[in-house]
Amino acid sequence: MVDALHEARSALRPGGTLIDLRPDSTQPPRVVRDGVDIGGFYERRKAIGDNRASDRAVARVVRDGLLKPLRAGSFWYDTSYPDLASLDAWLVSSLRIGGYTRGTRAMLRKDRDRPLIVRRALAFGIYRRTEG
Amino acid sequence: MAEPEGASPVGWLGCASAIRPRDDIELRAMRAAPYIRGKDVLDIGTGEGRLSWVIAATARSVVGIDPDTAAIRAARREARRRELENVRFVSRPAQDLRIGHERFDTALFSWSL
Repeated sequence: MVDALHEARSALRPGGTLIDLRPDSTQPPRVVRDGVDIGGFYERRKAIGDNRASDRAVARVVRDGLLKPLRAGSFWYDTSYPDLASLDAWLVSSLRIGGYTRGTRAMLRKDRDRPLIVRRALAFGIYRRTEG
Repeated sequence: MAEPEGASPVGWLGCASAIRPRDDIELRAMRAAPYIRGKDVLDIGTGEGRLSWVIAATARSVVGIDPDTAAIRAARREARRRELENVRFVSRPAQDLRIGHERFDTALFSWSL
Protein backbone atom coordinates (compact mmCIF):
# COMPACT_ATOMS: atom_id res chain seq x y z
CA MET A 1 0.00 0.00 0.00
CA VAL A 2 2.87 2.34 0.71
CA ASP A 3 4.22 1.33 -2.71
CA ALA A 4 0.91 2.23 -4.33
CA LEU A 5 0.91 5.59 -2.58
CA HIS A 6 4.47 6.29 -3.70
CA GLU A 7 3.55 5.35 -7.26
CA ALA A 8 0.48 7.58 -7.22
CA ARG A 9 2.43 10.45 -5.72
CA SER A 10 5.13 10.13 -8.35
CA ALA A 11 2.44 10.30 -11.02
CA LEU A 12 1.28 13.66 -9.68
CA ARG A 13 2.54 17.02 -10.81
CA PRO A 14 4.07 19.14 -8.04
CA GLY A 15 1.21 20.42 -5.88
CA GLY A 16 -1.12 17.76 -7.28
CA THR A 17 -3.93 16.21 -5.27
CA LEU A 18 -4.36 12.65 -4.05
CA ILE A 19 -7.81 11.47 -2.99
CA ASP A 20 -8.26 8.29 -0.96
CA LEU A 21 -11.87 7.04 -0.93
CA ARG A 22 -12.84 3.71 0.65
CA PRO A 23 -15.28 2.01 2.99
CA ASP A 24 -14.87 2.97 6.63
CA SER A 25 -14.23 -0.20 8.62
CA THR A 26 -14.84 1.58 11.90
CA GLN A 27 -18.51 1.79 10.96
CA PRO A 28 -19.71 -1.58 9.66
CA PRO A 29 -22.55 -1.54 7.11
CA ARG A 30 -26.17 -1.56 8.27
CA VAL A 31 -29.31 -2.85 6.62
CA VAL A 32 -32.43 -0.71 6.66
CA ARG A 33 -36.05 -1.53 5.78
CA ASP A 34 -38.78 1.09 5.56
CA GLY A 35 -36.47 3.57 7.24
CA VAL A 36 -35.86 1.28 10.22
CA ASP A 37 -32.44 -0.11 11.07
CA ILE A 38 -32.89 -3.90 11.02
CA GLY A 39 -29.37 -5.10 11.67
CA GLY A 40 -25.89 -5.18 10.29
CA PHE A 41 -23.07 -7.01 8.62
CA TYR A 42 -19.63 -8.00 9.72
CA GLU A 43 -16.60 -7.36 7.58
CA ARG A 44 -14.07 -10.05 6.83
CA ARG A 45 -10.94 -9.94 8.96
CA LYS A 46 -8.81 -9.51 5.87
CA ALA A 47 -10.83 -6.49 4.75
CA ILE A 48 -10.49 -4.88 8.17
CA GLY A 49 -6.78 -5.69 8.25
CA ASP A 50 -6.29 -4.27 4.76
CA ASN A 51 -8.12 -1.11 5.74
CA ARG A 52 -5.92 -0.63 8.80
CA ALA A 53 -2.84 -1.27 6.70
CA SER A 54 -4.03 1.40 4.28
CA ASP A 55 -4.52 3.82 7.18
CA ARG A 56 -0.99 3.12 8.37
CA ALA A 57 0.41 3.51 4.86
CA VAL A 58 -1.24 6.90 4.43
CA ALA A 59 -0.05 8.01 7.88
CA ARG A 60 3.50 6.97 7.05
CA VAL A 61 3.58 8.85 3.75
CA VAL A 62 2.19 11.93 5.52
CA ARG A 63 4.76 11.53 8.32
CA ASP A 64 7.50 11.29 5.71
CA GLY A 65 6.38 14.66 4.40
CA LEU A 66 5.39 13.41 0.96
CA LEU A 67 1.71 14.28 1.26
CA LYS A 68 0.01 17.05 3.22
CA PRO A 69 -3.52 16.39 4.50
CA LEU A 70 -6.02 18.95 3.24
CA ARG A 71 -9.37 17.57 4.26
CA ALA A 72 -11.00 14.36 5.46
CA GLY A 73 -14.50 13.17 6.18
CA SER A 74 -17.03 10.43 5.80
CA PHE A 75 -20.52 10.03 4.42
CA TRP A 76 -23.21 7.40 4.01
CA TYR A 77 -23.62 5.53 0.78
CA ASP A 78 -26.90 3.66 0.29
CA THR A 79 -27.49 0.77 -2.06
CA SER A 80 -31.03 -0.58 -2.55
CA TYR A 81 -32.09 -4.19 -3.08
CA PRO A 82 -35.59 -5.24 -4.12
CA ASP A 83 -35.75 -8.16 -1.68
CA LEU A 84 -33.80 -10.44 0.63
CA ALA A 85 -32.83 -12.86 -2.16
CA SER A 86 -31.03 -10.13 -4.10
CA LEU A 87 -29.28 -8.95 -0.93
CA ASP A 88 -28.17 -12.52 -0.21
CA ALA A 89 -26.84 -12.81 -3.77
CA TRP A 90 -24.76 -9.68 -3.33
CA LEU A 91 -23.48 -10.84 0.03
CA VAL A 92 -22.20 -14.13 -1.40
CA SER A 93 -20.15 -12.23 -3.96
CA SER A 94 -18.76 -9.59 -1.59
CA LEU A 95 -15.05 -9.78 -0.90
CA ARG A 96 -15.33 -7.35 1.97
CA ILE A 97 -18.52 -8.30 3.81
CA GLY A 98 -18.46 -11.66 5.58
CA GLY A 99 -22.13 -12.02 6.53
CA TYR A 100 -25.00 -10.79 8.65
CA THR A 101 -24.54 -10.03 12.32
CA ARG A 102 -26.39 -12.30 14.74
CA GLY A 103 -30.17 -12.05 14.46
CA THR A 104 -30.17 -9.82 11.39
CA ARG A 105 -31.16 -12.43 8.83
CA ALA A 106 -33.92 -13.77 11.04
CA MET A 107 -35.37 -10.26 11.17
CA LEU A 108 -35.04 -9.90 7.42
CA ARG A 109 -36.75 -13.23 6.74
CA LYS A 110 -39.96 -11.96 8.31
CA ASP A 111 -40.61 -9.67 5.34
CA ARG A 112 -38.34 -11.19 2.74
CA ASP A 113 -39.99 -9.57 -0.29
CA ARG A 114 -39.68 -5.99 0.93
CA PRO A 115 -37.01 -3.63 -0.45
CA LEU A 116 -33.85 -3.22 1.61
CA ILE A 117 -31.12 -0.63 1.81
CA VAL A 118 -27.51 -1.35 2.67
CA ARG A 119 -26.04 1.74 4.31
CA ARG A 120 -22.27 1.94 4.20
CA ALA A 121 -19.93 4.54 5.61
CA LEU A 122 -17.31 5.76 3.17
CA ALA A 123 -14.29 7.65 4.41
CA PHE A 124 -12.14 9.95 2.35
CA GLY A 125 -8.94 11.92 2.68
CA ILE A 126 -7.67 14.61 0.35
CA TYR A 127 -3.93 15.29 0.26
CA ARG A 128 -1.57 17.62 -1.56
CA ARG A 129 1.71 16.40 -2.96
CA THR A 130 4.59 18.06 -1.21
CA GLU A 131 8.23 17.98 -2.20
CA GLY A 132 9.43 16.36 1.01
CA MET B 1 -31.58 8.73 3.88
CA ALA B 2 -33.98 8.46 0.94
CA GLU B 3 -32.75 6.82 -2.21
CA PRO B 4 -31.01 9.53 -4.20
CA GLU B 5 -32.67 10.81 -7.30
CA GLY B 6 -31.46 9.18 -10.49
CA ALA B 7 -30.55 5.81 -9.05
CA SER B 8 -29.91 3.23 -11.73
CA PRO B 9 -29.63 -0.56 -11.99
CA VAL B 10 -26.07 -1.81 -12.11
CA GLY B 11 -23.99 -4.92 -12.09
CA TRP B 12 -20.80 -3.71 -10.42
CA LEU B 13 -21.96 -4.81 -6.98
CA GLY B 14 -22.23 -8.33 -8.24
CA CYS B 15 -26.00 -8.22 -8.18
CA ALA B 16 -27.80 -6.94 -11.25
CA SER B 17 -30.91 -6.09 -9.28
CA ALA B 18 -29.13 -3.75 -6.89
CA ILE B 19 -29.84 -0.06 -7.18
CA ARG B 20 -27.00 2.17 -6.24
CA PRO B 21 -26.92 5.94 -5.78
CA ARG B 22 -26.07 8.31 -8.59
CA ASP B 23 -22.51 7.85 -9.72
CA ASP B 24 -21.57 11.39 -8.77
CA ILE B 25 -22.68 11.11 -5.16
CA GLU B 26 -19.21 10.24 -3.92
CA LEU B 27 -17.54 13.12 -5.73
CA ARG B 28 -20.23 15.51 -4.53
CA ALA B 29 -19.97 14.27 -0.95
CA MET B 30 -16.22 14.86 -1.01
CA ARG B 31 -16.69 18.29 -2.69
CA ALA B 32 -14.10 17.07 -5.17
CA ALA B 33 -15.08 19.29 -8.11
CA PRO B 34 -12.11 21.69 -7.72
CA TYR B 35 -9.76 18.73 -8.10
CA ILE B 36 -11.55 17.37 -11.16
CA ARG B 37 -12.80 20.23 -13.33
CA GLY B 38 -10.32 20.96 -16.12
CA LYS B 39 -7.75 18.62 -14.59
CA ASP B 40 -5.84 15.56 -15.76
CA VAL B 41 -7.07 12.79 -13.47
CA LEU B 42 -5.76 9.32 -12.71
CA ASP B 43 -8.54 6.98 -11.54
CA ILE B 44 -6.83 4.13 -9.65
CA GLY B 45 -8.99 1.05 -9.26
CA THR B 46 -11.37 2.21 -11.93
CA GLY B 47 -12.94 -1.22 -12.49
CA GLU B 48 -15.35 -0.83 -15.40
CA GLY B 49 -14.97 2.93 -15.26
CA ARG B 50 -17.87 3.72 -12.97
CA LEU B 51 -16.37 6.96 -11.63
CA SER B 52 -14.35 7.72 -14.73
CA TRP B 53 -17.50 8.58 -16.66
CA VAL B 54 -18.47 11.17 -14.08
CA ILE B 55 -14.95 12.57 -13.92
CA ALA B 56 -14.67 12.73 -17.72
CA ALA B 57 -17.66 15.05 -17.90
CA THR B 58 -15.63 17.93 -16.47
CA ALA B 59 -11.98 16.82 -16.41
CA ARG B 60 -9.52 17.58 -19.19
CA SER B 61 -8.50 13.94 -19.31
CA VAL B 62 -8.95 10.71 -17.35
CA VAL B 63 -6.76 7.64 -17.25
CA GLY B 64 -8.45 4.71 -15.53
CA ILE B 65 -6.20 1.99 -14.14
CA ASP B 66 -7.15 -1.42 -12.79
CA PRO B 67 -5.42 -4.82 -12.62
CA ASP B 68 -8.63 -6.57 -13.75
CA THR B 69 -8.16 -7.00 -17.50
CA ALA B 70 -11.77 -8.04 -18.11
CA ALA B 71 -13.02 -4.92 -16.35
CA ILE B 72 -10.66 -2.75 -18.39
CA ARG B 73 -11.89 -4.34 -21.62
CA ALA B 74 -15.45 -3.55 -20.57
CA ALA B 75 -14.45 0.02 -19.71
CA ARG B 76 -12.83 0.50 -23.13
CA ARG B 77 -15.95 -0.80 -24.86
CA GLU B 78 -18.09 1.57 -22.86
CA ALA B 79 -15.78 4.50 -23.62
CA ARG B 80 -16.17 3.77 -27.34
CA ARG B 81 -19.94 3.49 -26.96
CA ARG B 82 -20.01 6.85 -25.19
CA GLU B 83 -17.66 8.30 -27.83
CA LEU B 84 -15.46 9.80 -25.12
CA GLU B 85 -12.17 11.15 -26.36
CA ASN B 86 -10.71 12.28 -23.05
CA VAL B 87 -10.73 8.86 -21.35
CA ARG B 88 -8.46 5.88 -21.70
CA PHE B 89 -7.98 2.73 -19.68
CA VAL B 90 -4.90 0.76 -18.74
CA SER B 91 -4.70 -2.67 -17.14
CA ARG B 92 -2.14 -2.34 -14.38
CA PRO B 93 -1.83 -2.65 -10.59
CA ALA B 94 -1.55 0.48 -8.46
CA GLN B 95 1.89 -0.62 -7.24
CA ASP B 96 3.26 -0.54 -10.78
CA LEU B 97 1.65 2.30 -12.70
CA ARG B 98 4.42 2.55 -15.34
CA ILE B 99 2.95 5.67 -16.83
CA GLY B 100 6.26 7.00 -18.11
CA HIS B 101 6.55 10.78 -18.11
CA GLU B 102 2.82 11.36 -17.94
CA ARG B 103 1.79 13.42 -14.91
CA PHE B 104 -1.60 14.19 -13.41
CA ASP B 105 -3.19 16.94 -11.39
CA THR B 106 -5.26 14.48 -9.35
CA ALA B 107 -4.94 10.82 -8.43
CA LEU B 108 -8.03 9.14 -7.02
CA PHE B 109 -7.92 5.83 -5.21
CA SER B 110 -11.51 4.78 -5.74
CA TRP B 111 -12.20 2.06 -3.15
CA SER B 112 -8.80 0.66 -4.04
CA LEU B 113 -6.13 1.59 -1.50
